[in-house]
Amino acid sequence: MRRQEIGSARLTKKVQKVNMVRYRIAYQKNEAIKYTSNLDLYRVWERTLRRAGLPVVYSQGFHPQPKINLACPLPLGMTSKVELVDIWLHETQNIDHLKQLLDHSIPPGIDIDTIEEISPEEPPIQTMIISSVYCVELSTGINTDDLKDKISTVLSSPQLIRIRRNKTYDLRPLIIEISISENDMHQPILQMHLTATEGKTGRPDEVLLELGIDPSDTLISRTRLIMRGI
Amino acid sequence: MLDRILLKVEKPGRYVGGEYNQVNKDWGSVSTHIALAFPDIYDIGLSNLGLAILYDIINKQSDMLAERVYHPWKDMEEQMRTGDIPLYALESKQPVRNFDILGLSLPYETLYTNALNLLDLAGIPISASERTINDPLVIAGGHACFNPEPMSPFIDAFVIGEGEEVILEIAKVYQEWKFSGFPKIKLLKKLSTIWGVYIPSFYHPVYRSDGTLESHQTSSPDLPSVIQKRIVPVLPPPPTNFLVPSINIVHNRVTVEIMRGCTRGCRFCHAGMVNRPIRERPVDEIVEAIDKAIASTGYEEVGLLSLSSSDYRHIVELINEVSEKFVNKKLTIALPSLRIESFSLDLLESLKGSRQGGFTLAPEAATEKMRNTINKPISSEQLLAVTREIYERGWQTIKLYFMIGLPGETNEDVLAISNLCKQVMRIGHQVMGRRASLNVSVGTFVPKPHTPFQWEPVNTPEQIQEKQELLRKTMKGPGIKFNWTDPKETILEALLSRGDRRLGEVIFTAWKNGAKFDAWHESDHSDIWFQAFKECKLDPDFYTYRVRCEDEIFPWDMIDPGISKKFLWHEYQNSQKELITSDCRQSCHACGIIPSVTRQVNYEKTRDWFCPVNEKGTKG
Repeated sequence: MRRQEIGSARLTKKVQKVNMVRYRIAYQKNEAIKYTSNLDLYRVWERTLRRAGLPVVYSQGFHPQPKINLACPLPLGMTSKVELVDIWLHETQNIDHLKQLLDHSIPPGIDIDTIEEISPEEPPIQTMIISSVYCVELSTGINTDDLKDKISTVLSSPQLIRIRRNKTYDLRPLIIEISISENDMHQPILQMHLTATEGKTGRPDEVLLELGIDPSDTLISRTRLIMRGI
Repeated sequence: MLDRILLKVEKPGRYVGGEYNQVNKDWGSVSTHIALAFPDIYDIGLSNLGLAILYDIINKQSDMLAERVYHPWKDMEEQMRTGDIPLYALESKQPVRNFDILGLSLPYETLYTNALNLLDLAGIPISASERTINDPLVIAGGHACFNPEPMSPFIDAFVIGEGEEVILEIAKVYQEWKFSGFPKIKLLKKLSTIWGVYIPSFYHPVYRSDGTLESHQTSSPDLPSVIQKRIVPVLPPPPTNFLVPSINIVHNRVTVEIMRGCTRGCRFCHAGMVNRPIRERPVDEIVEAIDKAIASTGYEEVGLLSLSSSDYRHIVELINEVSEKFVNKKLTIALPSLRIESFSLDLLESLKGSRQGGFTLAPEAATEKMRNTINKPISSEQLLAVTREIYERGWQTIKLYFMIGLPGETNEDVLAISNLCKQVMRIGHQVMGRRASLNVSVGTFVPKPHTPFQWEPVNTPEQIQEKQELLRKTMKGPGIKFNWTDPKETILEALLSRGDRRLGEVIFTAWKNGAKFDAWHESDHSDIWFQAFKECKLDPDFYTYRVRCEDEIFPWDMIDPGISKKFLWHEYQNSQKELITSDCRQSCHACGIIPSVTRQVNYEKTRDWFCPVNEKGTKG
């Protein structure tokens, strides 16, 4: 018989309206943390900021949440060189010092590239992303000529009806471009440019399945996020 | 290889490690490798405080490392078996069978089949007698090990009691033996001299024709006939570098133990009996630990752990300091096991907090007779007054824990639970109308070894069902939510908790026939279990429904929890006479813990542990 017999209280004090500074962090999501989902990643950032001892801005209300915005969800198991997160702090930070604090507090697998202060007036980062580019390392032994044919077939199809999680949708309008190249080791690399707006996000694993490739035979990495101009 | 299967399973983050605060030691840089295993999934095992303590202690040693192992969920197990991937530790990804020592945490009995399955997934022979010096030494500890007999065919050495010191003593003995070239029996022999270590292969139960025990024989005269449980006289500073998972788990918080042991003497409570004497941590140490743990983990919640928060002598001082120091840090503080009195509300209120979640109380029984029987006296009037105050002070949800199946219980005692709950709900509605709610959890009592009820039968499934039906029929009304325990779970727990060594074969057979994850509500393997009893030609009723007589030798009698069997019997008699035994703070009842512990440690050196009365120099 396991049970939890507990009473709890959250320590809070009314905060007066203070200034807010918004920072945009560009980071990589690498191997060690690629199995952390978007929802869990939010928690990872929350705890990182707390460990760093930063004056995080919290939402008002009964369950205050830290103001953290992730740009664009990355499917589980994929890595990325180009992730973005916005955080809100109560005090202006020296950028170098801020980076040091975060580098020290971030879990393995997240590597911070740059931090910049941006205007709090800018629209939410999630609404700024329009598309993203993925790079797929294919296993050797793939017939590239066959693949090129399949890519042309996919690109010339007027629609590609697929079922994901019991929902039918058209994959074709989510594909902007697919191309094939080779890396330094002469391994075939697939580049795909897919839309990434609210409700219209192309998944690279779905494209691979359409091309007859098992995604678990590949390594998928996001290499670019394309933002709309303000 | 791993990547290929991880995309096919639910929550692959369970199987990759790499969390913040993970300790990564170079495999080749240390001589002794210890795998610490929790035989349930990552989501449950990661927050286990016992393993967190051992992980911290071992990894502080320069010549050892500790890594973590959890039982994979069914989908991952299938992938691992198909792909021939042996169970590995999360830090180095080394197969578990490459470790020197495998430490299994066995806090409750329903993990037994998972423990066997874990050994099997690791490619380690399940039977201790089949393991060679090339296999890890398999040790086990945790509350269920206070009756080690059912699991004894599978474990080389049990740790009875607290692990903080003994784990290093075991590791040191292992290190000396490892390169000695001596056979394994030499290692076990040396381990048997350590306070708190039980080597089951050196002991042999002899049964009478009626199935009860005649004696526990030792295989050589130099072995102790009784194994005294291990205690740490002074609680060492608590760990603060907790692992921070990168995926969501159960109990996502920092836990700081404020006190070990309990003076209440509730007769059903295993923890209250086997964790004596009381040891408290100083306030400064606790506050410092919270501070450090928050800084090192970034967690948003802290649980202050003890068997009875209200009984920690410096609780007011602690709560005041905590609320001053951490106010405005968006921190949630959880206090378990609060007494049913307004003082408990004051405590939570002085955390200056908003009303978080609900307020939980455990009256356990609803009539004076039953409360006297279990020795948890609290009047219904007081419960009603306190619940009124809880609603009045703004908490909207109250959760109440009760038990059915207690010794001497009648249908009237059961019905009294419904009546009491309905009264509480009525008060809630008076105070705050429809917003008030009440969650009632009614567990079923399982008699445990080393408690005054160890002589008692458990209720039969028919009795339990009848009582639950009574509650279902009567516990009705807007705002009340009622849940209960599946009788099958209760019976399985009852079978295993007071089992003897012959149950080892039953556990093995049940596992072989597919029983695992027995602690999960959706698992129902009772058919497999009863079939296993049949195959092993044992009568399950012998273990569950039999009334034991005063002088029966129990399978766990060679384990000395520090309290005497005479005291337990006396308490059992008191329960039948419905007599209250006061809190140890009011008067000493000579349970035996003080003489037992002073045999092992020098009292003068260890002023930190005490029986409250003993401080004044009266008997212990």
